[in-house]
Amino acid sequence: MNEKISRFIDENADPADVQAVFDRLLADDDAHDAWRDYHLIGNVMRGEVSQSGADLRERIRARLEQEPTVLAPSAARVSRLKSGDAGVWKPTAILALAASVALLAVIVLQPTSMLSQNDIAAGNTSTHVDNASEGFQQEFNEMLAQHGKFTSSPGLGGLIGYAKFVSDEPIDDESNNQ
Amino acid sequence: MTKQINYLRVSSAVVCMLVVGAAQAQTSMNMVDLSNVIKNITPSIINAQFSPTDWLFRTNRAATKLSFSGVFQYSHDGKTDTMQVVRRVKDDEVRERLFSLSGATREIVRDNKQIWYYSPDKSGDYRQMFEGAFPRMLPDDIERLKQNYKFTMGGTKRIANRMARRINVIPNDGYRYGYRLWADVETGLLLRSDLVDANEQMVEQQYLFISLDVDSAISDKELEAVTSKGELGWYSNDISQPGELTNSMSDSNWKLAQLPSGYQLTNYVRQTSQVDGKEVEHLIISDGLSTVSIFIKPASAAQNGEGMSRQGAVHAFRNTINDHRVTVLGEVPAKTVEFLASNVAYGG
Repeated sequence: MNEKISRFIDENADPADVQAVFDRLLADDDAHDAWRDYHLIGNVMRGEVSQSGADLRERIRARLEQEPTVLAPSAARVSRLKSGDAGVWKPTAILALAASVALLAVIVLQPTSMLSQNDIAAGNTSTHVDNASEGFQQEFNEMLAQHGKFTSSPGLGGLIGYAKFVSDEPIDDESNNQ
Repeated sequence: MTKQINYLRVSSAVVCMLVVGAAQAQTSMNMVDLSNVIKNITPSIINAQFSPTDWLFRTNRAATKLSFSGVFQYSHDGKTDTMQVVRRVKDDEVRERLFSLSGATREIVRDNKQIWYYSPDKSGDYRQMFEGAFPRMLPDDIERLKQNYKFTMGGTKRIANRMARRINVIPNDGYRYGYRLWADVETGLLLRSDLVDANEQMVEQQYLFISLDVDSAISDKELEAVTSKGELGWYSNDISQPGELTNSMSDSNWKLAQLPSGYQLTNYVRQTSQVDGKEVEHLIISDGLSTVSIFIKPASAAQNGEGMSRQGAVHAFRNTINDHRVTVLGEVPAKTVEFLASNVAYGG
């Protein structure tokens, strides 16, 4: 497990290991300590912890004595660096499972806004020029839903990404109250 | 004094971690002065513990494991809307409710499998449901992303009365958007997310929390929609009949002459549209974080709306090639979809 934690922090973790590492970190104090110490080691090596103090440095020294291979780059990274592997970007199950903000566009049926060539050339892509036809909107929403299955982004996930579909519509609340 | 107390509050998890570690070290290694450890617990040290990659893993973990309730602002097209979100993660069940606090009452509720949407200000009692997967936030290969994005840490600031650390995911060119993220120092939850372009100009503020309670007890009532789910009708179980996913266009008559830097064809699938029953070829182009779709289907006799269009941060470009409608769309800059659209060709 410590090797997995080290590799994880070294940014070479197998995605399959990530969940196990996190679960272990939450449940196992020793693993939690290893996580903390490996981070400190990395930060000290990069000169990012200048105020760590003798006590923290001593803990790092102790960790290194316990597991002297911790600073060695992982075999995967060495192999990749040696081969100069450009590789082929492989979408994974994570991307295949993903849905996105676009998903709920199907529900809301907001009209798209057409942009003129002048807008695009000027980078003025936030300008509303015209509304697309209703027929296209239905087709567009279907495409957005399909597209959403392949997207991902950092964030909180869940419904918060759908805020734009619950956002206020341009209705005149004040006039309604008069 | 107030500042010191705040630092201690927001960093309690890290403090506990260090204190426990120090105590263990004291007993097992006989070398730690506990007061010295505490003295060294400053925000700079706490924040130095994690790289941008670590923070992204941490935010992903927090998003999938923590219950929370809060109020946030969503800004777009010069408007700002205020909304409440409540999420409960309990025994592998996730329930969530998003509720508008301004304008007419609109809300979305969801459980593990389904989403229910309610908006009374759209064509009367406009109610529809949708079933689908939920987003995964973390791309699998951040090292690969570093070819097209710069990952850096920013400073700390106070958001929703909590200390937040900024994580920058800035695109290297104008063919993709990036993110400015602010993560709660204590829990890792993202308190603010901005979509930004290569000049670090904000395209859209996706959310900014103005209040947040984490791991508070959330009752069933807080997760229930104003409108009973039982009154709602199904919209659709599935939009289209999916075909077999591949990562090759070898069976297609269409070709992509050139892709923007950093993008690759990642998936190709033939589907049947439920709108008109026609076969659609769907090409998915991705750099690992930004994704663009290209849809190719036989053109109808009368179709309009060619050119560029926009919905939120999503740009779409449509044109007709060889009696087929080609639509390129994605949450990317306009020039990306235009570039791709100009490179789709019928190859025979």
